[in-house]
Amino acid sequence: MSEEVKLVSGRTGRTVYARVHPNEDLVQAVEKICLREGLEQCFLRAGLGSLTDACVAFSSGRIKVVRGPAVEVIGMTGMVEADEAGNPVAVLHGVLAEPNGAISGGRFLPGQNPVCVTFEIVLEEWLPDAAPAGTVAGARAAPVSDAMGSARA
Amino acid sequence: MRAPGGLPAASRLLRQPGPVARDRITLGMDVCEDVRSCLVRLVPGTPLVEAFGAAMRAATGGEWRPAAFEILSGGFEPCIYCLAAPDPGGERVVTYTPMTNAGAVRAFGGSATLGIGADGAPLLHCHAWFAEPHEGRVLGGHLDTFASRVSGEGLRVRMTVFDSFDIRQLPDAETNHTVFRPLERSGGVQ
Repeated sequence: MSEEVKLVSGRTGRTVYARVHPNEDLVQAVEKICLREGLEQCFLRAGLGSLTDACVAFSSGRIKVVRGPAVEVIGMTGMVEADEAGNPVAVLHGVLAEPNGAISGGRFLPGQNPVCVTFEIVLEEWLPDAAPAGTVAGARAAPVSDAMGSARA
Repeated sequence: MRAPGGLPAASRLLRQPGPVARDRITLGMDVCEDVRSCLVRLVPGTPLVEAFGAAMRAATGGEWRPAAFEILSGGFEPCIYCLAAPDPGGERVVTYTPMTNAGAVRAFGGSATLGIGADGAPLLHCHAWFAEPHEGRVLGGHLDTFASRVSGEGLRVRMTVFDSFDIRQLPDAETNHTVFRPLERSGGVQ
């Protein structure tokens, strides 16, 4: 087997509920919350609201701008990790309901997803154990980012 | 698509009808020992606002608390939903389309917030995506949580109950909508 399973053990910490106001960027708003509250890693536990336009990247690297207003975010996953310099980097994916009812989705590009009316976000802090989880049956501890791939599209 | 100046088209900012609030991100926070997370199976046939409210009360011993939910699996029947659309009257940037009945749908995911509505009663804000019952076409939007119900197969959700702040629907001068926002705790519905 060429790849090893990567495990990170830890526990959850604080939970944040946020209302993001119009014209704030969705990705950067999550990162601002982390900077403000000192959250180094967290999981997105809920995300719902509307974007004026949405801008998402596909796995091919193609970028699509979905024109609103408004584009409803009807499903969302994501997490935040710190980069090498300690700055929070949010990787957020969403399912979109376009104004014509078409459903699409992708990775939200930072700075290109302005909130239209409101956006509600729930973040759950993740506190990884300091010591590695151990190597069991081919498993090894690693930063979560290794399992998530590149932090940016 | 190109924007003025020949640059690639990008997302726009929009002028809202009211004054821009100074506070751009409003937070409520629970510290770890206050957070209550549960996996819940909601009761079939119940309107969503009642089903999610009953789950919250089951976790708190009957006391009112706001809560957030991740939709994991199950269905809605009926599923009454709408999308966002430009406001023809111009009083807001956007309003809602008329409601659509998608029938008995299988839910794939979504999020919901349980708070106190502008009328003082429990209110559930829910966006979800789901498959319509005959062709499996994927749909989604903003659910009418009073008219939509948990389907016969039930609905499984992950619930997070908040103890240290309220969530209330309040008028928002900037957008001319009433929206949920976190507030210092002041007692909820009984």
